[in-house]
Amino acid sequence: MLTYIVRRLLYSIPVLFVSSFLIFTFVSTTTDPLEAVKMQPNVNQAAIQLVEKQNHLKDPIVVRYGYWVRDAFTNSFGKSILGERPILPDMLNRLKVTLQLIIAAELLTLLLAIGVGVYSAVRQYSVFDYSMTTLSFLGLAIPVFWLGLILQIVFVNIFNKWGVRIFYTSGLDNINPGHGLHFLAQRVQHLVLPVLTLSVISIAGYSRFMRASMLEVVNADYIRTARAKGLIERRVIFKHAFRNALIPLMTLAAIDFGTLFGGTVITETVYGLPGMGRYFIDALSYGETYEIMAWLMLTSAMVVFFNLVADVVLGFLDPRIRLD
Amino acid sequence: MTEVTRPPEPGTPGGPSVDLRDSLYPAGMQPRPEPGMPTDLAPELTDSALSYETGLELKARSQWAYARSRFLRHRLAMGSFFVLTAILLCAIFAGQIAHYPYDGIDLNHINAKPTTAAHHYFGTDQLGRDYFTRVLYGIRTSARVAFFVSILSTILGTLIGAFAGYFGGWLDNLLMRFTDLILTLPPLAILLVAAARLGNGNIDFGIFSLGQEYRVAFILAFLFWTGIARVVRGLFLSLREKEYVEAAKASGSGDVRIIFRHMLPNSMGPIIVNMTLITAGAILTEAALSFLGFGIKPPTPALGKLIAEGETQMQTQWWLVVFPGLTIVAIVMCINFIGDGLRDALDPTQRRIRA
Repeated sequence: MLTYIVRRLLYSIPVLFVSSFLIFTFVSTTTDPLEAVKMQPNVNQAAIQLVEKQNHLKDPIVVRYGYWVRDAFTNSFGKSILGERPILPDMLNRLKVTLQLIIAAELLTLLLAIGVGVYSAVRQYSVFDYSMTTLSFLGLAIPVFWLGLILQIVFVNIFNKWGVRIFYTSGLDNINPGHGLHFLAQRVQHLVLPVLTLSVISIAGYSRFMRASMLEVVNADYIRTARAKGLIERRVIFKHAFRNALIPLMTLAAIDFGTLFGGTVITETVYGLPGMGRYFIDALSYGETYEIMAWLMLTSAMVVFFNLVADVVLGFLDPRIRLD
Repeated sequence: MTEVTRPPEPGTPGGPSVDLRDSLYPAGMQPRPEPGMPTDLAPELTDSALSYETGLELKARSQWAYARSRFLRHRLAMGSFFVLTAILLCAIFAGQIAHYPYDGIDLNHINAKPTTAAHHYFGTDQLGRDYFTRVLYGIRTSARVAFFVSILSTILGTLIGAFAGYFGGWLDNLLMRFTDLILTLPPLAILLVAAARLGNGNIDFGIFSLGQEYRVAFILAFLFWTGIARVVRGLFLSLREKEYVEAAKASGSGDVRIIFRHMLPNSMGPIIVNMTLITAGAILTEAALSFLGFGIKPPTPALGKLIAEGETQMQTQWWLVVFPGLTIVAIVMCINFIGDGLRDALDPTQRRIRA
């Protein structure tokens, strides 16, 4: 197992290098942080040339890539060009917000999807099953940003009409966040709607997945054996079927969790959360090449890492799979 | 027995009907007639006019005929098909249906609620522009993007997947590494970076120019082909080992002929199903891009852009956000249901467990 993990990690190093070079070529040719500055009428050309020289903006791509790699390793991705902000510390601050969001969303998704999936598989063709199928089709068709806006309209209108503030619709904290439990409560009030928005599509997809996987297991021979030897239904479902049906979902969840680090762009924009996604949109609208690069590297490293996690988890859960 | 059918011969849409005896049994291996079985049955089968008189209706149907009948029986898919057709027809004839031009201003009805008066079915915005009209024209844009993306990425993905799966080797390796690479990147982010700088303005070909929606569509297509390439590659890897491919090779067919004449028709089912998935995905992604301000820019109306424009006053003029969004939901749901029906019709082996 350990050798497998080490081998996979070593293998991912060249992959990340090749992909970073391709991304670098792509990003640095399509973005120019000084574009907006250059367009201003009375701009000092000498100053622009100085900035360009300091940041090696006019060098060939390969040379720039070399400087970038050096910065990435020795200087934690360096500083942004316009604001001269340190990139990695800034991004790690944003990561804290995004982590709260995606951990909560993943937990909510798993909880609801497993419940719905198992129940609709056990009660196949029931009213519940049919309505959940319809709802999941609806969930897969809703644009995330639109759902976010609709939830905002609903809860702001509730607040305006009855004066009840159930959930906040934008931002992460109040101006006076408070302390202790009070702080926690209002943080939760802020995060409920973004988490819900982020989860809806996953819940729709996961519950279908869980249902299919459960149905597959329920029709397996060993379940018939369990029933034949006289086990009560609850024990058959939860002890024999459920555990096995859970394995594919766990792998899927682990892989998806990796993609969530870079998958909150829309939700954070709609709800004005200062997280990773917002960081990316800001970097993009300023054309900050190096911020975009660092962001893409961090998120794709997360994807690679959680793919590995998924394989390892699968190896633990399913003894038939041997990793070596 | 009311209907005698032969096993569907793959890949012959509307092909000629083949003599039943030939397809079922090789020459000289016809079964001995059982006692009691009418011995003159076989000669009659060759003559379709006579077969009705014996009460044996014989119809040789192609695989596509089966698929068509399965799809037509799929009620949800057929219903969605009609709804989608209706929506698209409305968009195509937007000029005739709508009572206003899409940037027309009705100063008598500013910020009007949805009403049938003055035909503002979806309300108007703060400039008095009719949102029903704008949504209709927005559907046009979205449909163009989705259509273009699905065609382009399907052709690209099918070609690359087919060649990689058939030839294997370095081409296959290169493709798989490249799709792995694409899979590790957050797709929306890459699209945003590409669209931020490359997605502006028309595409000029000298003689004619395409609208900026095609530029966005090009960018989308370059990310959407990988999925279909993987599917086609997988199919071709398994089809390559089939006997009929071997037979085609033995009878001297070239690689290109085997790929396009023998293997591709047998992969059409999953390809078409994946195409519907791409279409739905393209509509949602284009809407998200336009909403974030990196996709289609005004004055071209796009559904995502309409929602973004309505966002600033959505608390009082909720209709500016609700109706364009509902339109997206309706279109995507219809496409998904059609895709579901197509999967059941074309790809019975991958049939999902029906609800």
